[in-house]
Amino acid sequence: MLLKNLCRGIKVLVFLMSISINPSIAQETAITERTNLAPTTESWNGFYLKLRLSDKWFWYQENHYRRKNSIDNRSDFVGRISQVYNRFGLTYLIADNFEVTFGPTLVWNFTPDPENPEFVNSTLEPRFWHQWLLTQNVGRVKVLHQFRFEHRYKRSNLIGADYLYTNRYRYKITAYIPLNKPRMENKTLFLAPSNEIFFETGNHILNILEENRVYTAIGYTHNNFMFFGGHMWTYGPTSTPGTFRNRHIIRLNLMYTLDLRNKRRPVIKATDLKF
Amino acid sequence: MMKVVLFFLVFTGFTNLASAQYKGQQRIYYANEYAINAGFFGMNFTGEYFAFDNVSIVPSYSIFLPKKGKASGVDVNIRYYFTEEKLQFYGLAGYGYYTRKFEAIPNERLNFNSINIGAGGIIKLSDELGINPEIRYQTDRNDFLLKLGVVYFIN
Repeated sequence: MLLKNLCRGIKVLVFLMSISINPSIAQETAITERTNLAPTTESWNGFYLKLRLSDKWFWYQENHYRRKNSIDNRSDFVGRISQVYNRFGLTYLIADNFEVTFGPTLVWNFTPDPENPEFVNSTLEPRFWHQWLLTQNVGRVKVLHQFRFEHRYKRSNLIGADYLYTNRYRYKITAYIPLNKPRMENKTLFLAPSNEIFFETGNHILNILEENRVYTAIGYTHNNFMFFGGHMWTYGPTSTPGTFRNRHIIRLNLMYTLDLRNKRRPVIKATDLKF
Repeated sequence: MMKVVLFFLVFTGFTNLASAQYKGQQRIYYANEYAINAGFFGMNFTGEYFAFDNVSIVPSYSIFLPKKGKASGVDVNIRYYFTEEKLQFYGLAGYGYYTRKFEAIPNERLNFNSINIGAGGIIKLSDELGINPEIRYQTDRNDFLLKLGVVYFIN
């Protein structure tokens, strides 16, 4: 019941924001009613890598394999390949609780209809991204505020389609709640609810509100590994004014972190060795 | 004449410093590339292994981003380093394979087998990290590639 009310609240909020953010659209088309498309389903499988290169610098990487439902079955989660998504970056630790990451992203976007020859099988979507991450401890709960900015070149899979440039602005708040330990540490079972809101600007963008994502993950930390996964529900406008889509997405993730600082063994010239 | 003397002094100065990039060293790179004639960018992943002091073998893979269609390249180069420490200059030569697929003509693909010739440098920022600018010419493809990357010194 609570979840239902929460979803309804988010829908109303997103709808109101989509109108208030772009009032000209609302006035021209006199949108007074909202149309919600039937939900679709997807499956996202992700690998995350974080390597500590020095006291201040990290290598950050995300690789996702994403599938979505079949054309004729909205509920099968895995019917068509959707995206192969690769994000890389260098992270600089500004303070213990504040870091910035920047780098490239390369996404393969696959055809929405594999049988249709008017679509190319896959297109590349390059992005430059930067992220500002603030970590906060609230009692035993670790709260992350993630401000992420993406500069994207994206096109449709229709043959001959042009690339279009957009800027994307994202804010995510995540709470890591340890269930079997007093704080997040090794061998911790945790719950990680989060909410992320997306805005988008560009010459062809009518509605700068892009999407809202509610994600509840459960996970476990084991040495250098973190296993986590859960359900994500997304809600946002489509390119048709007043029409909104929503997706149910199952996410499964593995994160691996490694500190390379004490593992580097610089090669020394044989003649420099002193015995 | 003055220029020749200056070049000689600078070159011998560098080579005197070059007591080596040592055998067994390894490095990995992420870089962005720009193909001047083709006019598009690429993303490049490179590894480097020093087979001898000063001499390394450098395989790399590039995904280019043309407006239509797809393009990619595989290179294997040999680098010779003239200097070491914070500024490391090198010359390179090797083999480059480049493939270009077109969108409007399905199954149409062009392949090029090139000799690479070029030069570059590494600006060492710390024991672990550096910046790598490079330029190389690919003969059969007939294009100059500008590269700017980040290098991690594994050992």
